[in-house]
This record gives sequence, C-alpha cells and structure tokens, in this order.
Amino acid sequence: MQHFFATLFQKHRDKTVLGALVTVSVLLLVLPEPRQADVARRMVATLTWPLARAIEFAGDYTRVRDENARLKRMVASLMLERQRLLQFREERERLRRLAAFKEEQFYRFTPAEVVGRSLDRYRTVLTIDKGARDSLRVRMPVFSYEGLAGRLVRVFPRTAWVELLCSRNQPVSVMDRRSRVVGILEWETRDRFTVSSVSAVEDVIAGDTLITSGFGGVVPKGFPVAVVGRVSRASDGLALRIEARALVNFDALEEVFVMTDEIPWDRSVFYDHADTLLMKDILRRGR
Amino acid sequence: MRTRHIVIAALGLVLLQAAVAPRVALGRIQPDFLVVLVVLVALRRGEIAGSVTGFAMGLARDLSNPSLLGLNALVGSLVGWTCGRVARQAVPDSRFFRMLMAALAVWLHDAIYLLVFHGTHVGTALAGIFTVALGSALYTLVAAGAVEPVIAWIRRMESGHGQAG
Repeated sequence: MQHFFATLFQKHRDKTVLGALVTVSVLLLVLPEPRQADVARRMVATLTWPLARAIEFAGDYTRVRDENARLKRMVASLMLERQRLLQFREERERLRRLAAFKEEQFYRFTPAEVVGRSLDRYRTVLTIDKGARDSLRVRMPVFSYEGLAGRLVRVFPRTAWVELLCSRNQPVSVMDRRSRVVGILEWETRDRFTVSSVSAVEDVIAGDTLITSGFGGVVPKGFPVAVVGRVSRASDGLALRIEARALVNFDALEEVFVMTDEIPWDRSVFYDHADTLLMKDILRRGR
Repeated sequence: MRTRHIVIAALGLVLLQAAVAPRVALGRIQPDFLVVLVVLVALRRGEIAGSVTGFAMGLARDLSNPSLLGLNALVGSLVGWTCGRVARQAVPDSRFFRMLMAALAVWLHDAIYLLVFHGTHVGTALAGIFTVALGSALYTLVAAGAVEPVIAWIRRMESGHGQAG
C-alpha cells in the first residue's frame, strides 16, 4: 500500500499535490457555516500571531520607554525632595533638642490577617493570625489603613484578640486636628461615637477630623480615628454634645497592623544605601 | 531564496489587492493581483508551485470572507495547476504573453468560482462570467502592467540566484 502511494506520488507528483489541495479545499467547503467561521478565525489567529506579538511588543516597548522616562523624572524630583526632607529633619531635631521636647518616635507595624470575629452587643473582638511569637503584647494598639481600629486584649502564642473601638469599654482620648481640642471618644452604636468632656465654649465643628491625643500612653499621638458629625449643646448647657463617625469600617476588616515597636525618628530610614546607589545610577544613565 | 521572494511578492500583492483594488474598481469589476502572482509562479515553476500558490492565495481570500471557506482555495489550486500545465508547452517569454495569461487565468478563475457558487443557477453564473468576470479579466490585463516591476524584480532575483548557484 505504502509502495503504491510512493509510486503514485513519484509518477504523478503534480496531480497528487493538486488532488490533496482540492481535497482540503472541498473538506473546508463542506463544513457547516459556523464551523467554517470558527476554522477561519483560528487560521487567521495562527497566521497573524507573530504580527500580533510584534505589535504588542512594540506597544509594550513604547509604553515602558515612556514610563521609564516619567519614572526618571520622578526619581530626580524625589531625590531632591529627599535631600530637602533630610535637611528639614535635621533642623527639626535640632530645634526639638533646643526646646527640650520629647524625642519623637517612628513606629514599626506588624501586619496581621483577621482569622475570626466574635460579635456581641457590647464587645467586638477580632482574632488575628499573629501572637506572642511575633512579639505581640497585650494593650498594643491596632490599626487599619484608615486609622485606629482597637487594641490587643489577649495574646496567645500564635493568635491574638483585638478589641475594636466599637466596644463599650474602649474609650479613647482624641484631639480635634484643626482646633486641638481634646475629648473622650466613646462608642454609641454601629459606627457612631460621641465625644464627651468638651466644654461648650470649645471650637469643634462638623467635618473636623479627630486624631489620637497620645494622653492615655497606649496609643501614640496623631493617628486618625473619626470624623465629627453633628455638634450641639448638651442639656446642661455647659458641654458640647458631639457625634462622630469612625473612619474604620469595622465590618470589613480583613487585615490590620499592630504597632509593635518604636524607633527613634532620626534612626528611621526611607530606603537603604543600595536603593540610593540604584537611583543615582538611573539618573546618571538618564542624562 | 526563491520561495522567500515569492512570499514577499505575495504579501505585497495581498496588500495591493486589499487596499488598492477596491479603490480602482469600476462597479464590481476590479483587477485581480493575486491571480497574477499565481500565473507568474506557475509559468516559472510549474504545476506544483502554481497549485500550491493558488491554494494559498485562494485561502487568504477565503479567510477574509469565510462564508464559503475553501472555494477560492479550490479554484486557485485548479488555476495554478492549469497555468503550470500550459507552461510545459513552448510558450513565448514576453511581457504581453504573461499579462494575457493573467487575464485568461482571472477569467477562468472567476468562471469556475461563479459556476460553483451559483450551483444550479447556470444562467446567473453565465451572465456573471460574460460581464463581471470578463471585465475583471480585461481590467487585470491593463493593471498587470502596474505590477510588472514586482514581477521583473522576482525574475531578476531568480536569475541572480541561478547565476550565483
């Protein structure tokens, strides 16, 4: 059989090729129309694949080149900005030392994932996947991307419980970022809070951001907590009744950050020596 | 080397057919540059190269309108093979003969295409063969002069290759 076909091909090569081509053409021709369209689409995709790849590569190359140029400009401006900031930092530290201010700290956060949640009417506790083995201790403050979320109340070797701000026994000392008025933030319901101990003559208006005051000694100063809602006089006429709304969405917490350590400000680094060398190299090649 | 030149010429003529032919069309009558290439290859290289080139050119045309996928490939193969068979005879090596062959090939191509396409409606097919197909063949006879530089380039390349080899 094989010999027959070999002989046939040798003797009638042109007719065999034509026969094969005609057979393929007829097979394509008798396909149902949707199948023909599918076959054609696949053939076009296969034939134009190198061209499509080349066009895609050219597009990527142009985009990356533009992005590179933009990043070089950014790196240049950031390098200058960094130099200015370092000067400001030195100047600030010098002035703080002259005024005998407390040395300011830089904070180190340990990220943790929420692995459990216990909700009751008066106390909301989350379980996170980090514990004593990760240097967590009781009373450490816990943050989300938006601001203060709560503090650690129990620490186990591999997990820990976070009591959220939306609990009855979690008052926080806060400060109005604009007017620096201090009060005590207490949970009311859901994400609603009230600020107490604020005199009726103080300057607090709706829309002000409340930050931690740092007075309790547990949470450092300056972290956002809530936004002031309605402000009115209390029934006794001596204090303000301030309603506030938490910045953190307590129902949607998936990952949190536990403040585990404090580093002196002047020993904190924005990026290391290798990064600086890399940036200098990029700038040198960009010229 | 020769095949590479054919592929380059084919790509150029496909572009010409897709971009230029519709713009210079007189109603439904337009030149067929792809068949010109098939004829050239068949005349120079014989039946096998002619039928393969015809199949490839036809398939390229089919892919742009896949409702009758394979019909142009079928007709292209037959036209290429026929032209290759004609080239076995003692044919004059002149520009006019090649252009005339191209025109005849276009007419043959369109005739087979219309007969298969219209099936039992032979009258419609014959009307098309003697109007649109004949017009396209004559238009190709004229327009083939425009692609003569491409053809001449391929011939030069082939001659150069032959001398070098």
